Amino acid sequence: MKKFPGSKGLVFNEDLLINQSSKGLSGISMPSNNLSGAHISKTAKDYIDAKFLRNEKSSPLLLPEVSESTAVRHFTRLSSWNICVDTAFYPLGSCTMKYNPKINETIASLNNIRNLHPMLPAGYIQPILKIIYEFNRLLCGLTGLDEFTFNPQAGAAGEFTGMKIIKKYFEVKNEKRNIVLIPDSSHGTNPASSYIAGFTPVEIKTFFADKPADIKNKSKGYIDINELKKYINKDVAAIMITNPNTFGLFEKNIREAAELMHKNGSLVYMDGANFNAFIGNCRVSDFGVDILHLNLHKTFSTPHGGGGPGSGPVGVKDFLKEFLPVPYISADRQAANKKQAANDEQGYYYELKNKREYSIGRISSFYGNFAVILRAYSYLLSLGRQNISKISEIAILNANYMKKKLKDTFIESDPFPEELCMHECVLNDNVFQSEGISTLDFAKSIIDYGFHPPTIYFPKNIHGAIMIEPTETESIKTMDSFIDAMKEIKKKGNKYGSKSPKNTKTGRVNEVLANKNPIFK
Amino acid sequence: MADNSKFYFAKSHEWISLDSNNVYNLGISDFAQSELGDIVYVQLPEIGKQYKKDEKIGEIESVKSVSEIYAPVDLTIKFVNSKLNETPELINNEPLGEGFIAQIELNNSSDLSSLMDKNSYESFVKSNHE
Repeated sequence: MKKFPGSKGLVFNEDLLINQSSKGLSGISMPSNNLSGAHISKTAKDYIDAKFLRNEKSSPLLLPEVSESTAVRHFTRLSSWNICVDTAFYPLGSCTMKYNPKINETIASLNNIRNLHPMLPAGYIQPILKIIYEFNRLLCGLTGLDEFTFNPQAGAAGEFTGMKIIKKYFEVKNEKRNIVLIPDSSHGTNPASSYIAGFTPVEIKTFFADKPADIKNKSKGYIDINELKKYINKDVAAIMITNPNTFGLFEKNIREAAELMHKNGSLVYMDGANFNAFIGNCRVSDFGVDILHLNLHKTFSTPHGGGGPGSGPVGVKDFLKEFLPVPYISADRQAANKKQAANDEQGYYYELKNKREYSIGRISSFYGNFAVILRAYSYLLSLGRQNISKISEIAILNANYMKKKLKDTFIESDPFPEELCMHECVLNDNVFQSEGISTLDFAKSIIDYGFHPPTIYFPKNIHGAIMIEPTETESIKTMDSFIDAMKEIKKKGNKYGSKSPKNTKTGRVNEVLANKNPIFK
Repeated sequence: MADNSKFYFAKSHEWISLDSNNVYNLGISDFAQSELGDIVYVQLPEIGKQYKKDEKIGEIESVKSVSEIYAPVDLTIKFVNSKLNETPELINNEPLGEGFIAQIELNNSSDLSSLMDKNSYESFVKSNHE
C-alpha cells in the first residue's frame, strides 16, 4: 500500500482559554515598579462619566488568567487543527501557496526593524526607506514598468487603485469613458474592483463549452481578437486582463489586444496575481501593459491565508506616474548634501513625498505593509537574479508535470488536452462525476490523505472546476503522492467521498447551515 | 395568452408559467438548481420595477458560487416570494413550485414565443451540458 502524508493520530481537544482560567495565575512576571501610588492621584473615575464605567461587580472583566504553559499549549493545539504550507502540500490554484523561506522571517524579526514606530521621521528610518525604494526599482526591472506604489495592502486593493488611476487619467484628459472590458478568464475580483471605482464592467466571452468536442472552432479560453473588436468603442476606458488567465493559459493574443486598445485611446490593465508563471522570463511592458498589480503575498513568498497579510503593489508606465497614490519615496542627492544626513553609500537621502500632480490620494495609512515588502525584498535578494527566472520555469514545469501525469486517468476531465499550461492546471469534474463523486467530495477526501484541497468551482465556466497549482517549491515525490491520492479517491468511489474528511478534528461541515446562520463568536 | 400550467424556459435557465389564477410566475429550472447546488441566499428583484429582457433581476448564492437571475422577457415585478429570504432551499426542493422567485406581468405578451417549451428546453440542456 502506498504511504500518504495523511495519517491517523491523536487530535487534541482544546477549550476556550477563559474556561481554563484560575484566579491569580499568570504567564509573566511583572517587574516591580518604584512608583509609589502618590504619583497617580487620579483614576478613570476622574475623567470618565460614571455611567460609562464598567461595574466590576455586575459585569466583571473576563480576562483569562493562565500559566505560560497553558497559553503555549492552547495556541499550539489550535494550530495543529489547521493545514498549512509548513505541514502539507497546498495546491490552491490561483493563490500560489508556495513555501515561504524562513530567512524572510529572520530578517523581518530583527530587533531594529520589528520595534520601529510608524511615526518616526524620515531622517531616522533611512535604511527602511531605502529598502522600499530599492525594492521598487527591482520590481520595475522585472516588469519593465517605471514606478510602483506599495500603498495597496491586498491584490484587490491594487486593482481598485489601478482602476482609480485610470478613472483620474481620463478625467484629466477630459474624456468620458465608462466601460472596462473584462474577459471571462479574469479573476473574479476584477469586475468588482472596476465597478467600485465607478466603471461599468463588460464581460468578453473566451470560453463557450468545457468539452473538447464542443469547442472545435471556438477560442478555447483565450481572448478572441474578433470577439474583442465587437466591444471596442470610444466609451472603453480600459481592458483588464488576467495573465496567465484563470484557465492557467498564457494569453497569447495579449499583444494584439493591447495594440487594439491603445489605438482606441484605451489603457491596458493587467492583473498580475499569476506573475509567478513568468517572473524573470518576460516583462509585462513587452506586451503592452500600462498598469499592473502584483501580489507580494503570492509570487514573492510572504505568508498569507484567511485574508492577509497582503501587499498589492501597483506599477505604471511613465505617463501614469503622476497619478499614483501618495506618499511615495524619493531619493535625492542634493537633499543629502543639504541635510548632511547619515545617507547611504550612494549618497542618497530618502524622503516621503506627499505631492503628485494628479495623485488619486491616499489608499492606506502610512506607506503600506512594510513587513510584507521586507520579506519580499529578502526573497528576491536571497535568490539572486539568475534564480528568479527559475521560479517561473519550475512553476510551469511542475504544473505541466501534474497535467501530464493525470492524463491516463483524467484525460476526459482536461478541458485543454492539447495545450501546455502555465503555473496551474485546471480540470473539470467529468471523470469524478462518472464515479458519482462531486468536486466537493473530492476536495474533502484529499484532506484525509494529508493534502490541502485545490481551488474548486472556479473558474466558473469550467464545470465543477478543480484548479491545481503545485508551485515551484514542491518535489516530484510530493506531486506523485498527490496524483496517486486523486486516483485512489476516484477508485474508492462515492461512498468514501461523500463522508470525508474523517481524520480531521471536525468532519464534513454543513456548509448550507454555516452560510445561512454563521456564528461569529 | 399562454396555456395554464405550461412552462416556458429561457436559455439562461429561468422559467415563466401561468398559474390557475392567471398570474405569471417566474423561477429557475430544475437543471439550474442542481447545477448551483445547495442554495444559501437569494437576492430578490424589486417589486414594481420594470426589467428589460436579459437584464439582471436578482442573484442566487449557493455554496459553490453566485449566479445571476435574468429577465427572460420584458416584465414588471408584481410580487416576490419572500419565503426565500428564510428558506432559500425551497428552490432546491421545488424549483418549479414553492421555490418560485416572483410573480410578474409581461410587458409584451407575445414575448413568450421566444422561449422554449419543456421538451425543447430539455434537449437544449442535453446538447449543451452533457
